[in-house]
Amino acid sequence: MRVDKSLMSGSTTMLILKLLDLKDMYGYQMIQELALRSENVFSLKAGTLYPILHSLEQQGMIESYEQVSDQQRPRKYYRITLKGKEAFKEQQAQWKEYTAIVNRVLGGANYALD
Amino acid sequence: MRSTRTSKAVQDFVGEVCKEIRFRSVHAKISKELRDHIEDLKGEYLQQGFSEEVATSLAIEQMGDPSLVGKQFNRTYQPKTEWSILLITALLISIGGVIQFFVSSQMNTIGIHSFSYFVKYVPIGIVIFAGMYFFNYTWFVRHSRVIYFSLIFITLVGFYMFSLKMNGSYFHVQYLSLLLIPVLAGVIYSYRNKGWLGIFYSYMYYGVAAYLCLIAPSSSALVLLTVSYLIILTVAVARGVFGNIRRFFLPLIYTLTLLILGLPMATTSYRLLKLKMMFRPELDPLGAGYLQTTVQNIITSSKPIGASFIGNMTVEEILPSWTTDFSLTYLIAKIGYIPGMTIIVILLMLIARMFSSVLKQKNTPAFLVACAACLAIAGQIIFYVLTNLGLIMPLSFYLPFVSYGAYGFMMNMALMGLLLSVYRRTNIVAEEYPN
Repeated sequence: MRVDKSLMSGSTTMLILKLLDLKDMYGYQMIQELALRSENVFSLKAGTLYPILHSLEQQGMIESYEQVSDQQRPRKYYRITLKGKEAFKEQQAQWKEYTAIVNRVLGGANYALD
Repeated sequence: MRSTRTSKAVQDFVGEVCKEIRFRSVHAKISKELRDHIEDLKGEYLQQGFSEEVATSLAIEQMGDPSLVGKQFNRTYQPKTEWSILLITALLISIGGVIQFFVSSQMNTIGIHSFSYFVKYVPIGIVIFAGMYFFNYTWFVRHSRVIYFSLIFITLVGFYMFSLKMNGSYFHVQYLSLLLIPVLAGVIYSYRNKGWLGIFYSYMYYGVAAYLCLIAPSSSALVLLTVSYLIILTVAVARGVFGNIRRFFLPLIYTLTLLILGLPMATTSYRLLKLKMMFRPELDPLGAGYLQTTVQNIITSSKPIGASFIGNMTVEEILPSWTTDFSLTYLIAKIGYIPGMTIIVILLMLIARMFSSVLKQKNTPAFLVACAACLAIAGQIIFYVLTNLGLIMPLSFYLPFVSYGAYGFMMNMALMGLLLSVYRRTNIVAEEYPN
């Protein structure tokens, strides 16, 4: 199923924080992981991802560091900070509330349970 | 042949992106990350059996529209303006203007019309501020040793070629030493990863500057320079600028510095007397302790609002240098301690905002330089206020942005320009500098 891009844009930051909450990753890995976890519904372009990563870093939500992985060139890894974890929890709570309300409006209580 | 052509495609893509990003200092970091990503994508396509050329163009296609990507990056990398510091500074300058106007109207018989000078030096100060603010401060950090030697040279020229003596002291040292504080921060950073030897070298730089303050002589400059240097050095060691250094050696440096400075102070009997007066000014109310006792008398007899008299004398009659070193004391005597306290609160707000702007700096040279500029300004404020409340032995300080004086004003505007220049570039300088 193709999902309208505008539905995703609001939650991209949250999804990125979620990925980094699992483990430290580099940009390419994040895109692959997101595609895998969303069964290829979310295909994030690198051009969208990196500006978001850099702005999250400026806000102190994530940090970056260089590390050599499997005998290749050093990669720039991102790691979530304490502040980022808190922001993620907050966003997640808001998201749950929001989707619950949308579901209620769309189809009553049963709709959300499908 | 093919690989140069394909890498040219990558180069073009990255170039397109960077064209949209205003601050060139972040180009290298962004290019590298994008190139790495393209390499990863290309690797995947190569594995799927595509030719080098096709793999490259497929990978680039995956990246998105370069100019759109560049625009998004550009939005992320914008300069930051610290409005609260700018506003408080403007407010303090205005307060200074009102005070100078007030003082001028009081003393036109003596012949110094400080307000007309104020009107002239403020625009010059603003130009200096703007110059420092818009200039990329990393240049200063990279050339800190050259700047250091130039400042020392100017100081020496002032000693030997011009008669810059006022009240028995070379006054230019006090102002130049203010600039030396952030320069020393740059020097400290220039000896990064050099271990103990790095600390030793930076200490030599400090030592020469301190020696010039000592022979000027300007005890206020010496105190401010020493305190600031030791704090910056401590911060630098804590941040691992010199590599792994055992921290317990730092107290050794503090003690050594105190001993070196204490010796010349203690051997001169006049200075020893001054030192004694620092703790018990009332021992000698008409001699060396006169000023501090006078200030204390003025403060204790001040009213919440309105002019107060000391005995039956006005503050101008008993307080020397009330136009410069004791402007705050004068103000408290003249219009009351509530307005005086208000100014002190504004000054404390400025200090708090400045330190908070320093703490936002993650990159080490930015942090050190901002910290130094902040210490230089905050140090003057703290010493000035303590002196003007009669809490410490009077040293000649300038109250940043408020008290009268063209040189003091211009130097502090330069320091403030530097501090805000660092803040402005919080997000837009590369993490580390090439050696």
